[in-house]
Amino acid sequence: MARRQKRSWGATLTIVPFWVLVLGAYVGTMVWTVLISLTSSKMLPNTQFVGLAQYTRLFATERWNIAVHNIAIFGVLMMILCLVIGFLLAAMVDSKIRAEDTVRTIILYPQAISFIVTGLVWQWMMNPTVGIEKAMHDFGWMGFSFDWLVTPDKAIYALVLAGVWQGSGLIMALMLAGLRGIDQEIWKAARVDGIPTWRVYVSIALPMMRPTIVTAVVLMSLSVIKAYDLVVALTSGGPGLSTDVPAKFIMDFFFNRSNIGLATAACTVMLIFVLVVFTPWFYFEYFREKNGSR
Amino acid sequence: MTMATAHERRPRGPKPRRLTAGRIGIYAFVAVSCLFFLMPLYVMVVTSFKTLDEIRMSQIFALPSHFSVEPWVTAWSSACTGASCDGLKVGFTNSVLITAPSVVLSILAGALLGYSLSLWRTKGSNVLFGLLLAGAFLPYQIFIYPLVRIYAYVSLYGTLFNIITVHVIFGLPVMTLLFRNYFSSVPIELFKAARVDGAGFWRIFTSIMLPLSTPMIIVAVILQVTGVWNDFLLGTVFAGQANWPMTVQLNNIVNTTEGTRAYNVDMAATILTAAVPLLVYFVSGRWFVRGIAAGAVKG
Amino acid sequence: MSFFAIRSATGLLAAALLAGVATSALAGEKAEVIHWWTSGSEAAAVKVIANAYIKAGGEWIDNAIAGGGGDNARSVGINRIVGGNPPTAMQIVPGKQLDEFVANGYVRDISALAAAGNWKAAIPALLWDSITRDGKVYGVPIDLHGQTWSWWSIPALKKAGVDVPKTWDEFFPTLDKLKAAGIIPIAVSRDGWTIDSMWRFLMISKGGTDLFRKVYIDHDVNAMKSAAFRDVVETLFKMRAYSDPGASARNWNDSTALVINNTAGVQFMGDWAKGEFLNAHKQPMVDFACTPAIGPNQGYVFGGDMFIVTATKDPAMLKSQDLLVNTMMSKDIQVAFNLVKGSIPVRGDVDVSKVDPCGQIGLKLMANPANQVGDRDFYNSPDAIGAIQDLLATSWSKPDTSVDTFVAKFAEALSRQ
Repeated sequence: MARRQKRSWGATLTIVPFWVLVLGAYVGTMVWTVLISLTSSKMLPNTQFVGLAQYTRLFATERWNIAVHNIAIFGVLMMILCLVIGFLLAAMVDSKIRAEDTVRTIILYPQAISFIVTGLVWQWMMNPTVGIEKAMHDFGWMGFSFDWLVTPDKAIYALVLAGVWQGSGLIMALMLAGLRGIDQEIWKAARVDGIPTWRVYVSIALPMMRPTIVTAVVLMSLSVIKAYDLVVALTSGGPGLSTDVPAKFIMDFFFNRSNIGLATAACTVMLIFVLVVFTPWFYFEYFREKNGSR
Repeated sequence: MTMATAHERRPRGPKPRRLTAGRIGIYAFVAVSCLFFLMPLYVMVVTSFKTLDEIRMSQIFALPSHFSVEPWVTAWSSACTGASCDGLKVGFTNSVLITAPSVVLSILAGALLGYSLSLWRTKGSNVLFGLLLAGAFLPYQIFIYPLVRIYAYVSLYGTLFNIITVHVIFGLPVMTLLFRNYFSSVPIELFKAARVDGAGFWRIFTSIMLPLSTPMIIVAVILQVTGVWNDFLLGTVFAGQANWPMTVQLNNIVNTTEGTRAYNVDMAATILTAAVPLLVYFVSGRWFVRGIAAGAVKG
Repeated sequence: MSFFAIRSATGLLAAALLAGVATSALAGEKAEVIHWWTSGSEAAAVKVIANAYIKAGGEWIDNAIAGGGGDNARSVGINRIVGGNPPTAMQIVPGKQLDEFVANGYVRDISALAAAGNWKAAIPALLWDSITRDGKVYGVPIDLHGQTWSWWSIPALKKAGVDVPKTWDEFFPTLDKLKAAGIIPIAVSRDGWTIDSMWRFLMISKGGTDLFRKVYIDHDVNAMKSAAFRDVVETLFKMRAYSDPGASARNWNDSTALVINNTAGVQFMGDWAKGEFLNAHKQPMVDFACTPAIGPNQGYVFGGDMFIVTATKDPAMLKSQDLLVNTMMSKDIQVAFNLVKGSIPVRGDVDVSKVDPCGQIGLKLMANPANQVGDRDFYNSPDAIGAIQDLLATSWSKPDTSVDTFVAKFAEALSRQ
């Protein structure tokens, strides 16, 4: 490896505190979490070993299964919609429209707003008795119905809607940056050959933007896995448990249900899931090709 | 992607000539999207200037019949949370006190670690980076309880120091990722030349790498200001009541209701809480896209 | 930190109070109290204690934490105790929650204060049991809340041409009339515990004290399979049709507001809802009707609010804890506080003549121990109660839930102790 330099005390001394921090704050807490999940801890952690009993119970808990199911739906829909909308918007903004700066700012601003705020505003707008539905009825469109928030089977889509509203701006920004990284010669060549614009986007630009899309997917997975604030502010997990997610499940059992054992078991399951799914992928993206190319 | 040209890029799409059906379609799509994105902000602003009676009578999109600034005054200085009625102003100061040091420190830490990982490669640096990235994907809930115990053990729980360092810790993965990727794209010759000139670890960092990374620092500032300012969960748990950030106060105000819910005050409080990150976006939005183009995209 | 010190909402008192804060800073008896009383009447009730405490020379640092029916406040309190920075006192739900606090040595033994204040003779025996562990007193039981009340809007009933139902046979016809008159018959809220309030109203009033005790104290599976229990479940399910779509976005007090302004007919909620009515200057039995029972069953499910003072060796903290506990349990404050809060005093040795008509009904019921039923928290873990609330919330929102499934899941939930 060309980059490996002779030993530098500066580098070593710098990296040591980071090792301490990562081992203490990340690795240490993970180990603690796994250990506690093997105990009977209730409101406060204890050391009474119960084997895998918490896991048996976790997988038998209907609420956990609902939460996992929900996060899958939420994650997949959110990613697809954000990617599609983000790409479309980026392509539009990129096609020399007027007032590009204004448009970009409008699309990007929800990113600056906290999930708590997003949740509150959308909760209000989607509430049938005061929000959009009522407004449409007041306008005279009595047949209008927008009841996602209060219908158990649709509430998860309300969550997706608010999530897309907030998240697609960042994806647009990433895609826009990606589009502008494409060599202008390609556009010229395509025009000379008479290839329609949309085909250039789909067949040439998109494949060239693979790294951008990967980054976008990584960033979105981060926010999906951590989805908590939005759920609490928008639906509080309801109606019933129809929008419960793992992060909320964990928080509830940690603090409100006073069952730390079960909560840490749920944490551990998420930990294993993340490691199993993302480790090979991390390795592939960040280490393998770099080692080869440099 | 090379950096040199990235800053100067302008729109590259096919050149428009005149108003064709396609152009109209594009503008229609953009217009509808803008309406969708602006709708909640519009509703928030309009509602915050209405009186409660008017909110009850009119629908959410209607303009206020006469503008009332009272909800704003209430939200800022006298809205109640429980028995204390001091509004959001206390939270504002706290949020500033938390955000400013957290942003500076986490960017410094991320830049330094990213620099070490990309250019100096000490033993096990890949493992360290891998652990950090794994940490980025885990829900905060996993870390909260043990961290409470750790801070408690050293008697720093619920202090300003506590919440700031927690933000630095949780900001580290993404900050490191940004700077590591950015520094990886710096031409290696630059680094080698500096080494030949006898510059050491710190010298190269402060006089070459940091100045080079301005576009990345802008992206990092935007991400961290919004991230830290908007944080709710960590603030509730670690800041201690005396240091509660604005988001926590907002949540308390919104959940404290005297009879009928004061939607106008809630909305004014909401806008006030969002004001700082919004300002950051409005002012620096254009640099954000350029900064991303300059390196964040690089896988 | 003086800006966190409590201030009066009214201009007249503000000056006097500020003076109080100033002097108390010298006295140094600082009480930092974590609670979750953030609705209008609750906050007003906190002020009664805070003002008395300040008047007695202390400084009050208010720590109100909204949300989750107290879950958030409890989390913060536990974190602070574990974090070595305990508050002077914190609110908890009486019952099983106390066990682990005591087992870990986080709570101060206040037997001496209880003996000096003659608590044992003054409060109901069931309540006394709930604050003691191994003969030592660990809790300050500040109020008694009836958990299972129904609150009716009298103007709404008049508009529909009906009265508060006297029997269960009249119950659904009354709701039908309300609906026909364009009124939301039942004001339901979104959180699981609010559905649980409705559920326990049915359990005690339709099922009866015997069924309630068998299910919640004995965890008797046969009782859960009985016809009486199934009847309660069916009634609950039938009530779904009388809610409105807005329910999923409402907190409990938003629903109370609907009854207060006569948009809704009835809310099933503990007697803290009464505080909201009184706070809105509504007269009991004139503007709104209250009843803990429909039909002949006359049980009274009581719970209440309880504070614990944290274990400490700091003499200044001990002193402010003594002052706080004595203030909370003094006869005057018991009366004044509970009047505002909507609850009834825990002490039987105080003048209850000022208690409002609804409170009088509660007092009368409580006078007979046969009617007294301790709330589910006394006998069940937060985990089991949470599981039941999950079940109730899910079943309420999904009309296709069958009674059999509900019964099976209910038994399973209660087995998680």
